[in-house]
This record gives sequence, structure tokens and C-alpha cells, in this order.
Amino acid sequence: MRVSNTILNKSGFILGGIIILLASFWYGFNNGLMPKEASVQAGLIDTLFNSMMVVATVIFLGVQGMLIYSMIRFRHRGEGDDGDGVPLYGDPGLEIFWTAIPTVLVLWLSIYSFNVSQRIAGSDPSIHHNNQNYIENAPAAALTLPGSRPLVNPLIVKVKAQQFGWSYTYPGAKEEVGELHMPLGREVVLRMQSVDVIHGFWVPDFRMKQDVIPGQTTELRFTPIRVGEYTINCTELCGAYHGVMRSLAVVQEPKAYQAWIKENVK
Amino acid sequence: MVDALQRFPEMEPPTGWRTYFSFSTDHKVIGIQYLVTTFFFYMIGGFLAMLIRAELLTPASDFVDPAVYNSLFTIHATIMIFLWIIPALAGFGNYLVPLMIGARDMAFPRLNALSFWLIPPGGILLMSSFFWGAAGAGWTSYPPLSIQDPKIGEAIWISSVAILGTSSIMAALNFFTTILKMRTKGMDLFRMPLFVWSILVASGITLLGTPVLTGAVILLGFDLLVGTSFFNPTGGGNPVVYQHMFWFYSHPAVYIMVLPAMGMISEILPIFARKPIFGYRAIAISSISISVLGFVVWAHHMFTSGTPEWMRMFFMITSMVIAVPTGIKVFSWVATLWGGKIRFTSAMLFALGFVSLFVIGGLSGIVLASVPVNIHVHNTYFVVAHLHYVLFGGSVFAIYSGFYCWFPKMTGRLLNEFWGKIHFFLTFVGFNLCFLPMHTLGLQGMPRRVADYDPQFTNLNVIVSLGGFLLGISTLPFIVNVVWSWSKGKEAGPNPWNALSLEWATSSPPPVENFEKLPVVYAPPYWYGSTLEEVKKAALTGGRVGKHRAGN
Repeated sequence: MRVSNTILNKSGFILGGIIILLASFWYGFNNGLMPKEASVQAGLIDTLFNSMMVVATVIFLGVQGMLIYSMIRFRHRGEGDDGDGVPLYGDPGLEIFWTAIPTVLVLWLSIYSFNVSQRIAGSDPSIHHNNQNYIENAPAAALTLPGSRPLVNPLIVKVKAQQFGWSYTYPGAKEEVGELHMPLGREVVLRMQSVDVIHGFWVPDFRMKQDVIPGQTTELRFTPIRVGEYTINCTELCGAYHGVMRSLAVVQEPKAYQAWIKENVK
Repeated sequence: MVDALQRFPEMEPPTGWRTYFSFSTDHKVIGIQYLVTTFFFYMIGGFLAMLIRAELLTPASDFVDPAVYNSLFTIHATIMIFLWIIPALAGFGNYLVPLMIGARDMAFPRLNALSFWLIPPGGILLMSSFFWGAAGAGWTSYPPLSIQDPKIGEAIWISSVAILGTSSIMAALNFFTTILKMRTKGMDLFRMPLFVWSILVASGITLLGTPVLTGAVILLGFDLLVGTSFFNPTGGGNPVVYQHMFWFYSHPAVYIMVLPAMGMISEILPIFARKPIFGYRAIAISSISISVLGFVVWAHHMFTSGTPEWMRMFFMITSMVIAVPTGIKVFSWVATLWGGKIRFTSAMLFALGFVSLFVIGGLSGIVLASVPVNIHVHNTYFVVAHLHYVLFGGSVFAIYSGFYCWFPKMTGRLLNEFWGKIHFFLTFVGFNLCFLPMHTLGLQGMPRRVADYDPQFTNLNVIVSLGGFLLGISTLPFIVNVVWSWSKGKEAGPNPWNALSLEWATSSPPPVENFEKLPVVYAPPYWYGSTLEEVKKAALTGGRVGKHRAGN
């Protein structure tokens, strides 16, 4: 008994769709594209990213798959196969479908992203105060967005960016140091200023980035959860040596951190 | 409409190749002048990219002086945007729009010539800056870096951008007027080819957006040269205001660069699949949606610039929403292939390549739109990957496709198909080798605009650079093909592709005033599978030809 072409076709597409969905879910959560998760924020961002990778992989495989399928099945078959293809101008049902599904996906991604943004940002990065007293003494809770957690005894470090290096001033210290040390598990708030051009502070393993803009103070907050040494990159073009404007972020056990503070922070 | 020949009959235009090096008001000559000139600048911009990739073969900054490196990527991007893609698409628009709407020339032929003749001086001025130290603050030119010493390169950059922006505005005014006022009898807006739609919409964007860029760079120029403090914090200015002004134009600019490219794809896929474009009306309306939405997404380039959280959320939502009309186009193009009789000409291969690669660029764009993820990938190689997938995999592939499709119309001769296929494969492979790994590089931690990188990124950078060099080589078969075929290629005749739009209803190349007799139109030019009689009858009775629902 010969199975009709239409049924083979339809079941082929359904099977293909299922394989694409499974492959996308697998790749979404096993892509290995992100570096180590070294902050609370990294965990939240990575799950969002992986979800987006699932959706992106479905669309990617679906579109590339349809292109390749059509290139094979609907190719011109040599001399004699002249004449035109099916005079199909559109299909309202299909067009509504492929307008509605992306709209729903995009709304879901927006809401999910909004949720993650609230949980990682917590403080509004647009704090423009140049008041030195504010920078050193304002309680971090003053900067919290409604709906997010209040900060509990964060470590507030002043960061200075200049062409071409980073320096850090710890609470109560008179001198700057050249490395950013942090104790494991305690929230860090960076209050950043630039003395010349725009720079950008970024630790890939924390996922957190914030431009440092002259004439303003910008703020970045995160909680490190993994002991180790991490690279701080400058991510806003700042001149000839922008590429080497790197610094070291070190996350240590509390005792080791206290020892470092005692030794280095004056 | 009076043309130059009518008013000055004693002036004979130069003939042969000299035509293209002299002042002409014929849109076809101007179109070819644009295309050849912009391709020349593309080669220069591409050469700068080869130098960039040579530097990035090794982690250390050891190939060029670091300040020179910053100039390399600054001028590379400035050329590719203002001297290649924007004016090349204007060149195709110039050549094709009057023909496609059944007109004899553009509305303002002398303004048309002027908008072309601003390109060579703008470009030469920019190139000359290398003698004195070219600008090195990125094509985005953010202050305060861009107003630091040395100043001359930046001053030249600003002047060049102002000249090229003026050219763009003039061309847009011309297209807008021509398309709205000079369509032939029977050609309502919804009977225009989609390429014409795309030029109309892109011209609207240009008219509204480019003046803001001009304003931004003029204010920047005052800060640079005269000591004002619009953006200089030491005088009380705010550098972020520049970013808002800059991106208010520069985001819509990407739609100026991609909509006409998409318009060409909407013309080319039907020709070589022998099928109507799927969803003509949806594609036309989606172009309008993209242009409107495109004006309210700009701050997604500024998510880490100290932008308030409420603003980040607004721009995130608008940036995500713009994916919907874009997706409609992609799905419509894929559906256009369904049930077709696809011929894999070079033009078609590049058009299929466009769809395949643009989708990837669009997907990385959605990832970038999400604020939390953007905070990680902003200003990394992930962005470099995204922008090249949409601008190279997208716009440049469409431009190549357009060359293969319309070269026969412009010159009367066909390009060699064998070498066209070689060109396609080298470009497709080189492109993916070069730009696919950049997604990983960015996610793993490599910032952009750096000559020095962490050694852990070496292997991927070597693959990227080899892909880049392959891309450089891939242009050779194309250049040789064009030069050879222009005089020795197989004669094309008026309609080598059996296509339906009006440019194919006249000789190759067309006569000076395009048509012996101005045509009359009954439907948009996609009625493959029907006869002209059926189409005329449907137009006169208010019916439709063909199928409007998928399935048997």
C-alpha cells in the first residue's frame, strides 16, 4: 500500500519539527558559550541567555532547514522544466500565524528580561552626583529601585578610570590600590568616575558592565560567588592603549580578604 | 520636464567610457557612476579590514602602532557605511527606480548629478586624513575622546561625514519626489515593485534622520576646534547627549542600509523561483513599520551609558518589537521559494545567501535587545559579529546579487556564471569563517576595538583572520568577471531572465529616455504563472489572479 505523498510530507515536517525542538532545547542549555559563572548576576543572565538560545536555535534550524529543503525539492529540473511555479500570492492564515507567534515570543522575552533586569540592577545606574560626600557616604539603599531587594552591608569601592589604568579606593582608605579584591559572597557596589574620557568597566565572568563617564558618577553592583582571579576589561574605546587597559579582580575567602586589606589598604 | 539635451542641443555628451567620468544628468549614467565609485571605496575599506585582521593574528599589539590601529577600524567602518553601502544602494536606486516606475528620469536630474559628485571629494578628503593622522575614535566618534588631541584627523572626519550626509539627503529628496509623483499610468502605490517601496521608505528615514547626525557632528566640531562645551564635561557639557544625537540617526541608518537591500531580494527571489513574491502587501507595510519603529530604538546602543532603568526598559521593548515586521519579511521570502522552479544563478545564490545569513544577524540582534544580556555583550566581538551578519551577510550579499541580476540590463552583457558561482562560494565560506567565531569571542570575554587581547582567544582569532583573508581573495573573481564581461560577455538582450518589472521591457542598455512609449501597468510585477491577459482582466474587473491560500 503506497502512502500518499502528502501524508509522508506532513509527517516528515512534524518529525522534523520535533527534532528541531529537541535539538534546540539541548543546545540552548548546553551551548557552553558563556564563561564561568562567578556572580549571582551571571547565573540569572545565563539562564535568560540560554532560553533565548533555545528560541534562536529553533528559528535558525527552521529557516535554514526550509531554505535547504526548498532548494532541493523546488529546483528547476533541467531542459523541459520551463514554465513558472505555483502562482501563490499569500495565505492569510499563515501570515497571521507568523506574525502572532513572534509577537508572543517577543513579549515573553521582554517580560522575562525585565524581571531579570530588576533582579540584577537593583540600583539605577544613572546616578549623576559628583558630590564627594555622597559618593563615599550615601547608604546604598538610597539607590535601590522599587521592587528589588535592599542591599545588606555592601562593600562600597570607589573606582577611578583614566587613560590607561584602573585604581580603587576602599572605605576609609587614603591611598588607591591597583587591584580589586572582594570577599566571597558579599555584595559589592562600585562607584566609578573617570578623569578624562569615557571608559567601560567589565568583568566577563561576573557579566556586569558599566561605562565610566567623566562629569558623572556611575554605579555597578554585583555579588561574587566564586573564589578566583578575573580580568577587568575596559570596554569603551579610550585611546591608543584601550586594549591593554586591563585590571585584576580577585575574589577571596573572607579571612584571606581581611589579610589582604590589612596588608595593602592604607 | 525639460532635460539638458533639449535645452542645449549643441552639447553632445561624451561617448563610451568617457561618459562615466564626466558630468551627466542621465540617471543611468549616474547610477553606474555611483556603483563603480562605491565599489572602489569598498576595496579600500576591505583593505583596511585586512590590516586589522593581520594585527589580530597574534594577541600582542605588534603589527601597527596602536594609535594607527584605532584609525584603521575607524576609517574602515566610516568608509563601509558612508562610502559603500549607503551610496551603493542609492546607485541601484538611481539606476532602477525611474525604469521600474516607467519614468524617463528622476524628478531632479541636476540635483541627482550633484548628489553623486559629492561622493568622490568626500571620500578623497577622508582618505587624505591618513597623511596627517586619521581619526581614531571609532566611527561613533564619542567625545571626550574624539575632541582630544591630535585634532586634525577628527576635523577631516567631521567634514567628510557632513559632505557625504548632504549627498545622501539630496538623493533621498530626489527619490521621494520621483516615486510619489512620476509613476507611470496604472501604477498605484500597491502596484509598485517592492524595491521601489524600499527606496521610498529609506529616503523618508534619510530625510528625517541625517540632519540630526549633521547637527551632532557640527556641535562636536565646535567643541573640537572652537572650545565650546556641548559635550565636554570640563566645561559643563554632557558626553551622553552626543550619544543620543548620534544614535538617533545612526540606528535608523542601519535601516537605510538594509531596506533597499531587502527590496532587491524581494525582486530577485521571484525572478529565479518563477513565482510571485509571497505576501507583497505585508512586505510593503512591514517596511513602513520598520522605518517608524526604527526611530524609537536608538538607545539600545546606550544600555551601559548610565541610561536610567526606565529608559532601558522602553528601548528594550521597542527593539524587541521591531523583530516582528523583520520576521514577516524573512518568512515571506522563504515562502516565496515554496512550489517554485528555482534556478541557481549567481544572483539567486547570493539572494539565498542573504536570507540565510540575515536571519542569523537578526537573531543575534534579539539577544542584544535584552538589557541583562546586553550588559554582558555590549562593546564586545558579539556586536561585531551581529553587525557584520546583517550588513555584510545582509546588505553586501544583496548588492552582489543585484550586480549579477542587473549588470546585463546596464551593460547589455551577461556576467560569467561559472566565475559567479566561484565568487559566491568563496564569499560564503570566507564570511562564515570570519564572522561566526566572533559570537563566541564576544561571549567569552573579548572586547571590541582592541589590538591586544587575552592569549586564550588566539585560536579563534586566527580562524577569523584566515576567513577575512579569504574574503579579500573572494573579490578577485568578481572584479575580473566585471571587467572582462563589460566588453566581452555574452549579449543579454532586453530580458535574459524573463522577468516582469518594467526595466526588462526595454533594451539592454535602455535608450537615453528609457522607453519608446511609456508603459501602462495593471499589477505589481510578480504575476508569474499567469498571462498578461488574465492580469489585465483581473485589474479591470477588480478580481485577482492566482492562489491566495496555500494547500491544494
